[in-house]
Amino acid sequence: MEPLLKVNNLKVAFKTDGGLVKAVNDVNFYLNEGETLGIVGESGSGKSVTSMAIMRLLPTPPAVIDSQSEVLFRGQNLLKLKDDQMRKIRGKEIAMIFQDPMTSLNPVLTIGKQITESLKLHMKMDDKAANRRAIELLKLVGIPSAEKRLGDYPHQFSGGMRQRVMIAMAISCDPKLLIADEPTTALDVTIQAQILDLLKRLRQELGTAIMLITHDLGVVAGMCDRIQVMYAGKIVETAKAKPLYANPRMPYTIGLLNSIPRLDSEGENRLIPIQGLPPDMVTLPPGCPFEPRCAYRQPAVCQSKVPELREVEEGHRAACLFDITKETPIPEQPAPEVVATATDVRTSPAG
Amino acid sequence: MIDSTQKITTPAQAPRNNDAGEITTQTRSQAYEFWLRYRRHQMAVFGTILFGLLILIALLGPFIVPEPVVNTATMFQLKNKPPSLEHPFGTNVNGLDVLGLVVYGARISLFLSVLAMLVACAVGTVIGIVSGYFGSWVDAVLMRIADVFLSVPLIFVLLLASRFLVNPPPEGGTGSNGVEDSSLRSIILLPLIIGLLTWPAVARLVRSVTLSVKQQEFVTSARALGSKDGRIMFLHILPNVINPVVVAGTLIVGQNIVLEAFLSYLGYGIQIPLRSWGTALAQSQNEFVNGNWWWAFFPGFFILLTVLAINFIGDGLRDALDPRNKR
Repeated sequence: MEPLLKVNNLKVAFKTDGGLVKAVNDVNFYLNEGETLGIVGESGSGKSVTSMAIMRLLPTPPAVIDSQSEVLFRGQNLLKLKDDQMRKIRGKEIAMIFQDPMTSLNPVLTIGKQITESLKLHMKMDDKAANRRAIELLKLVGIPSAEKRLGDYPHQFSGGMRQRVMIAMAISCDPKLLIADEPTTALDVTIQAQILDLLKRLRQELGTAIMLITHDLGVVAGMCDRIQVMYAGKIVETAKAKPLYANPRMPYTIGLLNSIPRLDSEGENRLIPIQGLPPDMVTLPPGCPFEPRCAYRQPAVCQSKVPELREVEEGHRAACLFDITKETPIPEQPAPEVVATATDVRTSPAG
Repeated sequence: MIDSTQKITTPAQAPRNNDAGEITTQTRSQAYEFWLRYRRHQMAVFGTILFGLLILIALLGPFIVPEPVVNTATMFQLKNKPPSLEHPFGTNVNGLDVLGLVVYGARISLFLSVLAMLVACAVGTVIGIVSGYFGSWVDAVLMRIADVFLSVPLIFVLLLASRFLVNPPPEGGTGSNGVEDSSLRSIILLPLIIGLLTWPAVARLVRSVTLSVKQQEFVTSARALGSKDGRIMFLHILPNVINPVVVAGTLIVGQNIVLEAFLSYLGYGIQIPLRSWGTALAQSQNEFVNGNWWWAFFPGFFILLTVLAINFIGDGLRDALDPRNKR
């Protein structure tokens, strides 16, 4: 079956005074209809840029998308579409939820006005039909007394309620794909759970494919069919949710999982943080980007060869030259040196 | 679908009874909240009342006070009378009631200043939003044009424009048959010209606000929903930049009143038989030193009152419209 979304060789860079920041480096992935894909990574790993590139929301310049890149949505390359064709896809076929519900609603327009906007735009509904649909949507996302709240302004809603409104707006035109860029990061834990529940329910009821972007491994765990981990603009591991947690194969993923505090761990298991900082995206290291921070590194090999994603088990691919598992003993070696170059570049005045 | 919503019970959903109480506090409309904040600003309330009175004078005054027309029969009898019960503001050298001059002048002065402000704000807002939203070369071109307007001496251009466009020298001699025509032209053309010369200040203000508003996520969000640039600019960004424009607009009215008075004083603005506060002042320039103070004092005093009232209103609006000022 043709996947709903297929991203081929996506490369995105930003022109800055300090040089070309290579934010996304040759990313390939797919997403089937009705599937939920989690994209996990720390800040600056390129996960948001990937989603913005799919929606073509990156301002160009400064962003530069490589001409070989392809974003195939139902076989159609979005990167080659004209602006007005792309506008018809945004909101209607692919919708997006943003991180901060406090700023992603227009403070001076009523909720009703904002929800009905895309209904009128894409579905050509008149005011009455759009209002009726908006009430239906607000009920669907669990906002009480929806009729009365259409005339309210965003500041009259709490953070969780606003994120519900954002979700209502996103699903208003029955999109095939919903990109949720850290939808729960700005919310507290109980509200997080509610929003995730809501997304799960919508997926079941509407059959929407969801691309869930987060830095929180806990958020994707119960939610996603497949997970891919990004590091330094690359996908470094991808697998179904269970195997990824049970048997991570990339040292970065292992490091991430080890640095999550657990209540159920016995004895005094110390958290093991990942040493160092992500690499400087202007001058990427020639070899594995994670090498300087890797506990299992073998500098001679790792610094010379860029590991490509390879199948380590069925449906489980990792970008590491070695077969590393959680059980692999950490070799005795001097603690990984802090990536001095990265910090140097950051603290030096730009330009 | 309704069933499905009940699967999720949120804290807000559970206590149904609280709804009523919650809503009574929420039905305070935006306008009411605005009024609460505006009211705290006592000078602004005072300014509003004062400005309201001035508008009333401009609108209703002419029904009460007779129009000041030179009457050769009584002219010498009524000439240069100091304020009295009959003529509270005194009379001028032509035997005209200064109160009448002020009342009729209010109409033209206020109308002209407000119209000029509206022109400046409309042009400035559109150019500012377009400039700030698109950035790059659009911004560069529009802002250089604004710079040109700002660097040209306003008064000089106004004098020239008014000399050749508003009050052109009558063709073929000194015939006064064009008076009606030129007076109508002056109350429409003059504010247009003033507005078209003063928009850059508004445009710069709007541009800077647009620059910060367009960085906010709701603009990206609107684009992600498939909105067009025009829609984003005028549906999403415009309401977010309108507050500073309103504040700037009030202050511009004040400036325009002074500007009009200045032009008319020099004889390049409103032409008699139309009367503004400026023309009233212009006629009095020699009389003030002769001791006939009332002739210049009252029109001048009304200019002062209006500008003060408008500045107070502007201050109040700025405080009340700023949502960070919520208490």
